Amino acid sequence: MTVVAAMSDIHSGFRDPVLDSQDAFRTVLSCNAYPGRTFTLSRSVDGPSPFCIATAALCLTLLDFETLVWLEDEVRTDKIVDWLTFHCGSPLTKDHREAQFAIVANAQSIPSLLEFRTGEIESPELSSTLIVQVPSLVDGPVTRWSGPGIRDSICPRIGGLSAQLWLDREMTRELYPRGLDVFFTSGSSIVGLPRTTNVEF
Amino acid sequence: MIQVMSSNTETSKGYNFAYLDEQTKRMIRRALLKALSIPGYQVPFGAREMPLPCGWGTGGIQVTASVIGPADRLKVIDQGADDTTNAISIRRFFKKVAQIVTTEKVDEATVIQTRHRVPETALIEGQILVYQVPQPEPLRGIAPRQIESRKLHAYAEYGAMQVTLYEDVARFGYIARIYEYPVMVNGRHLMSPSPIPKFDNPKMQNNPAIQLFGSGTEKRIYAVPPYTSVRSLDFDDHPFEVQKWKQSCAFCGSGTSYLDEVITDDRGGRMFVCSDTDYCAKRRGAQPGTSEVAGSPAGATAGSSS
Ligand SMILES: [Zn+2]
Repeated sequence: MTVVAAMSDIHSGFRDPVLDSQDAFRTVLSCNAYPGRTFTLSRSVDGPSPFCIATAALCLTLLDFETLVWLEDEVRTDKIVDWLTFHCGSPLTKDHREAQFAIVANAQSIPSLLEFRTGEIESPELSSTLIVQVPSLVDGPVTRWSGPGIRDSICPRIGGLSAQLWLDREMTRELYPRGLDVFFTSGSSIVGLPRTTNVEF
Repeated sequence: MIQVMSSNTETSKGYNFAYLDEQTKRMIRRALLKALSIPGYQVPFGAREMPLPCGWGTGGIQVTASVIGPADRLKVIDQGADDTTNAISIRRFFKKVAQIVTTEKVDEATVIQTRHRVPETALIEGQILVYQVPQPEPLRGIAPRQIESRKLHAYAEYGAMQVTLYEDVARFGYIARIYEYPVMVNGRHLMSPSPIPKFDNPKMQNNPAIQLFGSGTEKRIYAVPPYTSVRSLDFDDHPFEVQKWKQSCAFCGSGTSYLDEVITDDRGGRMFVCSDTDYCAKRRGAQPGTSEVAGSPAGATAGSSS
């Protein structure tokens, strides 16, 4: 098998790596600035299954050789590993507790949020960012979010999450300014959940 | 399925779109996200050398270069004006390295890079205000070493800052600080608003826009998300107050904007005019209103606000 043949099996990345990442980053920035709102990417990318467009775009926008990535079982496939290695060059870890980015497609099998990196007291930014792909961003139990970036409150309905996930996240909030930052993805849409957001569920 | 990187983003001049290489942009973008997640906290980043002299806002320029794209309209202000050397140079830089459309109107701008002022015109959702920060540490002078100030921020030990301000009250009967007046962000992190006049501090609070801060020399990025509490430090018996003028703007008559005193002749003649030239021109009707910026961030499709 030649290198060329192997590469042709790898799914493509952004059509225009520079401008597509810029465009995707602005969407991601809005997600983090305005938690709970659904933002939709304007440009498409054909990532490896089961990555949706938004999960693939987040990877291509934020990951590189400096980011240690953990993949949940459902996304730890050869196709995805090859794609991440080729396009992002990210080192992978099997230990979610040390990951800088964690990518999850089956939110039911996510380890307890309490086990991820929440940063150091003097360096709270050295914490995990979770990319959690869900079946729907609009068809789930109603939750009420408030905090920075939210005027009054907003009521997202993210599907496919366990009650335990919300309970665990509630506990990480007591560590502030340490904490976890999450992006929920579905199709080509993203909802941001930074550590500052208070969630009633 | 591999596709060749399109050539239109690599200029023939040998630098990448918006000057910074993609690796640097990603590093800054990750820092910006963490900065928004921890409002007012200074995130260290690996600042790059920029082709502009020190003190020209290289931190702000790197932040702008990491967020800006072809769909943006960039406004650059220095002390409220678009036509100073510093502002013109930065605008020219982004025109050259990213072919960015520039504007002097707040209403038309999607990204505004600023030194020393917050525009008088209210910002809207989706707009990004990038502050150039010479010195990001509000505790400098109190904690001489960086390692100490990091500890003070970590444990929110800000008593010494309050004491310093209160020494003013004891000496002058009021808090003498006019610029770079420290603020508490989201009730947790003490933050330097950069050398803006304290007049502008209240505009930072609950602003619908995204406020990003970059210091190139100190290699720090920090942020204030929209709709976030930004409280200027004060005391029960000496509440925070902004500057007021007896005069109104000699050009537009505004009695609520930040005024600069201008000497009009060599016989001591003087007048007061708006520091924010775009705001002043708009009030004089010199600019027909032509806002095309939508009232919500690009791409927002859902979200039930209640
Ligand atoms: Zn005026």
